[in-house]
Amino acid sequence: MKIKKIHSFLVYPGKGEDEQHPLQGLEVTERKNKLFYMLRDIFENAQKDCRIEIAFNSTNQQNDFRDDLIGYIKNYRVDNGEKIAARLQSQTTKRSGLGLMFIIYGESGKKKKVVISRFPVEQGIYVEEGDSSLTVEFLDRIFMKSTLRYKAALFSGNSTVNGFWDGLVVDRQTNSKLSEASDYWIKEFLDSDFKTTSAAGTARLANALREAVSSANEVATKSALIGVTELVNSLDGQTTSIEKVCKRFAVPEEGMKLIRSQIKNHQILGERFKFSRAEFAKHRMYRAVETDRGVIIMAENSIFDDDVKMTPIEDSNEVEITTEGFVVDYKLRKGR
Amino acid sequence: MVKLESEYRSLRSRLLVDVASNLEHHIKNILKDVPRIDRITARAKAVDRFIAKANKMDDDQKKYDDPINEIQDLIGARIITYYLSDVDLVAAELENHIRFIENHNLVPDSTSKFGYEGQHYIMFIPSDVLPTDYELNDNDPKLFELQIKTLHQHAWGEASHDIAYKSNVKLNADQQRRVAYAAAQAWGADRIFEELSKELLHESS
Repeated sequence: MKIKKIHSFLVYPGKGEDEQHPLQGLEVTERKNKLFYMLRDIFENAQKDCRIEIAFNSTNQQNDFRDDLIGYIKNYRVDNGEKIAARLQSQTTKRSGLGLMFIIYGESGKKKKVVISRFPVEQGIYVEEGDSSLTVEFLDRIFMKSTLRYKAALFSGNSTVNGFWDGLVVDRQTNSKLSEASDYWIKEFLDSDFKTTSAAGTARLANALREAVSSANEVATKSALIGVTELVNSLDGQTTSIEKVCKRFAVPEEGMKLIRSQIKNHQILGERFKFSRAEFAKHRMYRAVETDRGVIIMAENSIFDDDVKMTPIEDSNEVEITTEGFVVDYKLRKGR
Repeated sequence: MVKLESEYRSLRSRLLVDVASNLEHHIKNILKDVPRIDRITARAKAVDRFIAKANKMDDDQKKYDDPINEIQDLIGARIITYYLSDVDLVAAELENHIRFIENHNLVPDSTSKFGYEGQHYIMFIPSDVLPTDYELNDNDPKLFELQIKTLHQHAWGEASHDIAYKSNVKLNADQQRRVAYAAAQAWGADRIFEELSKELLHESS
């Protein structure tokens, strides 16, 4: 796809400020230097780098960021780019600091594509080696792509009327505890949220785990997957994906295969969502009964009533609990 | 127009029919514990209806420059509930599960008029309903229209649709009034059943 325009803006922290720092915008016109090649790589590889699906917030088919984005797509002038930069500046805190923003726009037939990237400012040391000398210089304004704080967003579509309601972002901070920093890019600047809702993502995970447990033939695999259904509750409120859950709790390869086989579209495995303990509990897979003596009988919800018999004992409040089957495993766990 | 029809036929058979069927199943799964739902349906827009909509005029100009990319209800889903408060229950559950760009409670534009009513959404097609390992590209629709209505709203809507909107004859004042009267009756029936459901069903549960 041919790049039609690149604009660059130095964006200062401006959140909560009465007066905003004047924005300096620049069109990157030179097409045969390292900067252009780097930006071209960012543009061409955006689909690989930006893996988090987002959707703009809207209840009436209106979203302020999208309006600015569409304005830029229709007329990719520096003043339209400045609106996007101004928006970023108004949401940038001192903690996020100074940043260098690029807007890269391309077209191919009907298809339009915009990549917005933000390079955070860093400090570094520049070294130049001569034949017999070494020059070392401290640089306090370097903008780097490799840091945790680098952010990018990709939007593409055929129609500015009906398209461009969703996009993809790279935000290395969504996984960290710095959710406030991540909220700045996705929620505040882009006025968006994960495309997969908390309930939808959690339900998918629950259903995939349940079906994988049911289809597991090996006891070790079954046991590992059942373990995940309990451990996963520790992720309440955290951003994750099905892939990340499996990696975090070391699901064995056989278990991973079973989970993958439950999901028709493998892209879903990587879709980000906020895990909800309450939602997960709605898809409870196991029922357990515990006696006053500390005996616990647990079974899959779907077979509990058939396989666990509970008979009241006459003239008593006690209950006789019976079940039949072959013993395949013993477990030793720490008490509560 | 022949090219557009051929393009839409291809999109419809390649993708939309399967997605609509999967979407219906997906919504039924989301709402499996929500009571008092009469039916859940989803469909890919029929070719003749697409062409009719693509040809729609707006002040002597074509409404859509690029119908395939601009028409938002190539896939439509409909949920019919028993009572008015069930519409809210269904809406809340679906909003929890599917992102949307529009949420619109359609009512007549004046409090003294009676006509079409329903809760309409434009929502994102969930990845769960796409064909195996399919990634939507920019030529595919990403949105679908969802309507949530009561039995009475739906009955009036269906019965009046061909009469009020598809008939080649413009309704005279009396005919318009009778269509509005029928809408008022549906509105009234909804109110009465809602009151009764609150008095009888919610009390007993």
